Amino acid sequence: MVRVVATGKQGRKRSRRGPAIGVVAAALGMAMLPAVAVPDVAPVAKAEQPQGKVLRVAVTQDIKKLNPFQGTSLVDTQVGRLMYEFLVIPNATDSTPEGALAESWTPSQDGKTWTFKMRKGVQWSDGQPITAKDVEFTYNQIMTNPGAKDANEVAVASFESVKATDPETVEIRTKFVNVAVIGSVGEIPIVPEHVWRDKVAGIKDFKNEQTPVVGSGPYVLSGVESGRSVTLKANDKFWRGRPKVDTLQMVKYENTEAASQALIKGDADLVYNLTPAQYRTLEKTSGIKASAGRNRRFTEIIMHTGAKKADGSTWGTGNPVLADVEFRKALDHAVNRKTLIEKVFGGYAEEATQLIPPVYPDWTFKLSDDKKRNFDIGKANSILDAAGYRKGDGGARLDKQGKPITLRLLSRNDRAEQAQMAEYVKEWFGQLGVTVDHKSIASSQLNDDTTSGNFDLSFSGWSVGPDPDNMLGQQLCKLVGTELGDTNICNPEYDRLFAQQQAELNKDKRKETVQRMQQMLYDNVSAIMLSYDKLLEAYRSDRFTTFVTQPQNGGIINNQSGYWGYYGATPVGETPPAGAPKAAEQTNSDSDSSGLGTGGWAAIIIGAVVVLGGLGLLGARRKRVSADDRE
Amino acid sequence: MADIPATTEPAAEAFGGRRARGGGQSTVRYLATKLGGGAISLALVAVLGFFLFRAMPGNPVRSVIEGRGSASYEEIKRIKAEWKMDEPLWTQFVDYMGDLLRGDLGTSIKYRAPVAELIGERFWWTILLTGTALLLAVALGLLLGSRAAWRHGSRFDRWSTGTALVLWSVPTFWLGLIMLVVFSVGLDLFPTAGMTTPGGVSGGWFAELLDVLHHLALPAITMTAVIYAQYLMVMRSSLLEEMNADYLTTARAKGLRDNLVRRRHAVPNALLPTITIIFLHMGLVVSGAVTVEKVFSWQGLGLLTYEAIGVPDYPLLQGTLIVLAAAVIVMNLLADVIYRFVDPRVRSA
Repeated sequence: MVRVVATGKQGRKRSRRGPAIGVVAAALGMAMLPAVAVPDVAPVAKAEQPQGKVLRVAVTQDIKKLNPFQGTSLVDTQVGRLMYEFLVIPNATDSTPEGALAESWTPSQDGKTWTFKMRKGVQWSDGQPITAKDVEFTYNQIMTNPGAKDANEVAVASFESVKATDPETVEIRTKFVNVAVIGSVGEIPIVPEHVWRDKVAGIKDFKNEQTPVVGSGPYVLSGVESGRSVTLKANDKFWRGRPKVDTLQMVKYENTEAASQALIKGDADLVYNLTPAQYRTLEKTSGIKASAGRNRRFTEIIMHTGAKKADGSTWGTGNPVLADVEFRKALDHAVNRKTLIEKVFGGYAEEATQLIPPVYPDWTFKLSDDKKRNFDIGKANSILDAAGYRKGDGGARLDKQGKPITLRLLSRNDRAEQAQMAEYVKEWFGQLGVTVDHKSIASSQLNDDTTSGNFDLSFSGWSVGPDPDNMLGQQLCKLVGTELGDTNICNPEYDRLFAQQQAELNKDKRKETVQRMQQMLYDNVSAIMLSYDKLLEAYRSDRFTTFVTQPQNGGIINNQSGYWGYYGATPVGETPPAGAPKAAEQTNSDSDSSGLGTGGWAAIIIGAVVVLGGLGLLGARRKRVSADDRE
Repeated sequence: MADIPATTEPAAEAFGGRRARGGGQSTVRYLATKLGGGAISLALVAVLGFFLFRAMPGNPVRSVIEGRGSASYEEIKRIKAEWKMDEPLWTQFVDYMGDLLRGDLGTSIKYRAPVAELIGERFWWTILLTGTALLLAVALGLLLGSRAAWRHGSRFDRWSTGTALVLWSVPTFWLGLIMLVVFSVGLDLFPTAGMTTPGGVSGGWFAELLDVLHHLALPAITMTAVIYAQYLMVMRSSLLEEMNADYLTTARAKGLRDNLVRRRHAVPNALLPTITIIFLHMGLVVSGAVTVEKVFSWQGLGLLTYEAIGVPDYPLLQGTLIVLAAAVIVMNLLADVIYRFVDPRVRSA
């Protein structure tokens, strides 16, 4: 007799259940107890229930730090923009700087001192006046307090000193003449000195979640659930006028599919970063308006051009053929951007030629038709022939040493579109006789390989700020082979022009220089520019009539370099807030199609399957029971 | 209150009695050996984790500055110094071990927050989801598995085994999204994401509890659906092995009802291999379930680890590895101990 456990004495009734099951259950119960020593759960700022007219945004990026000195994720900086006003802000029309806390600004004769005149009568959400002292305090923290550098160190890099000469005047002195100062101050949220003064020692660990948080932007923070959601309330004291949305909630979704489902269901009012397929589904759903906004992002293929590092050393293992500008030209001619945009981006992108996207029209150069490198395999082949790359047996293109050319192409395995594009590129380059060895790898490894130069071609992309200084600065000679470089190309003339545009106080002249620099990069084929990707967004048009986009004409609602999208959100039955720029006419039509939608139909089908399955099981059971009876 | 000692006393006696039968001193020694082994394993994991993660490809500095759009030399230097990446590996290692011994898991590179805090925030949510799913899956698996084996070859057997295997085979991500589309969007029964209603609910702790359960339902059911097949199959096959054993014939000969023969005689013996697999999985409960967490935006440790790998966030990876390893070690320890009580053969060996 093999009765397993020695609990038989506990009585017949219990042992009937099988003592071993009891043991397993007990053990499972223990698993629920603290099995390992875990630290205390951190105190979470009290969540607040939404009140009044609520705008719920489904965000897919991390909500990490709401301390504006440290928040660097897209959502963090977005929340920072909503909570704290800036000295100047990129406007909604075309992102040129517009006065915010500062009413006006003027450079000194030598161009090294900028004097900002503060707007009068502006208040913090607790009623205290906003003065030049607050600006001085904020900037000085970033410049001198190591714990406050994370978010905006680069923006103040050229600052020598910041001083409030009186409550209405701030002077910023720079180390060298730098017109990008105005762009920089458009990135730094100003915090109230009277609140932050006693936080400076532990600023690094200060979470800034003790609500209500004193702010000056269109909304003030009123509740945080760590990493999961952020709740903001309309700021009655916002100098442009109170927003029409009473409560703004940002809720973290871990994937855009769930976010778009939440929009259909009505759990969310605004979603973004959609895929073309999700976008098209939402476009056809009633009560939802979809918008493909012109964005400030571009996608490119960078090349190992063989440029040397700043110390004169070579780096990595790039194929030497890429050092030849003619070879790069041929590759550029062999890429059909129209096909990529249509097949990979679902049509939601524009052809790219330069680093600065067309949403910043001031800084982009007009490419003449005769200079533009169109898709032309024949021309690409003849460029290669002329440059001395002959074809060998089997049509393989040979390098100058007579070896067949193979180029390694890296893509990120978390970006499906890159792998798709790689397939096309492989085919087109194949038509030149160039073999492409495509590897889809983790982004961390891709970063590693491109920094150390162990690649030939690699997909890349950047979000570009309103001032061209940052993006152009990433192409300087000193950044070749570092974590900071973009195209890793070196052209001393380009570097000279970079310094020139930085010191050019005349905007028209600066424009000219910036455009020349971009032309230079194009002529030099610094990278194979592919596309300006649109941001696919959608919102409940049965709850909100308009959002202000940036740029105002066909731009984006989320990921702006301003607060216009959320500030200008207008609930149905309301007029837009007084201080918001007029929303442009939306061209994307709101579909009238009604009916069940995917979810409804899927529900019906699954419901039917469940019912049929249930009936089947019931039938089977009845049959079995009767069979048992017979036994 | 007064009757608590009264009830614990006999229990203690029973335990003592059992221990005496099981060999007294040897149990203590057995436990001590196992505990010692566990502690050594954990220390090895801590050391291994440090070097393993640093051998991974990737450059955390690049990942940190990538999110910012712009950076400077000074910033890179400062970031490297902050995370001690400019120091030789062995000094980093000594610092890490020193911190660890003081109970400090370090600060996350990606989240810029103490690792212990990040893990602490997500620990119980992870246990709630994966623990609930495991409980349900074990209960369902054992129940259906034993019945399927008892009537092997029947339509019930074919259907239940088939269904379980189909669910086991479908991609979790896909199943999760279908559940979301059908039960949340289509039928409007459950919320689309998260662990609680953003901003909370009014109505006190009971309303909050209901709110959590409401959010828990879909992810827990999805996870259960995916994993219960393994318990079903193990239970089914081990019960099938017992089916022709002589003691069952004896039991039947005594005139016991069929259900009783199954529940009291066959199932307890067939449970042994299942216990092993349950405990193996229980150790992994802490690691969470990345795909389910991703679909339902459940902020668990699985997602946290996944995010950390992308950076790579060394302190966070080390921290999660240690917590995960500790859970597995403790569960294995528990399995060993419980096996001693459940299976007399282990005890006498």
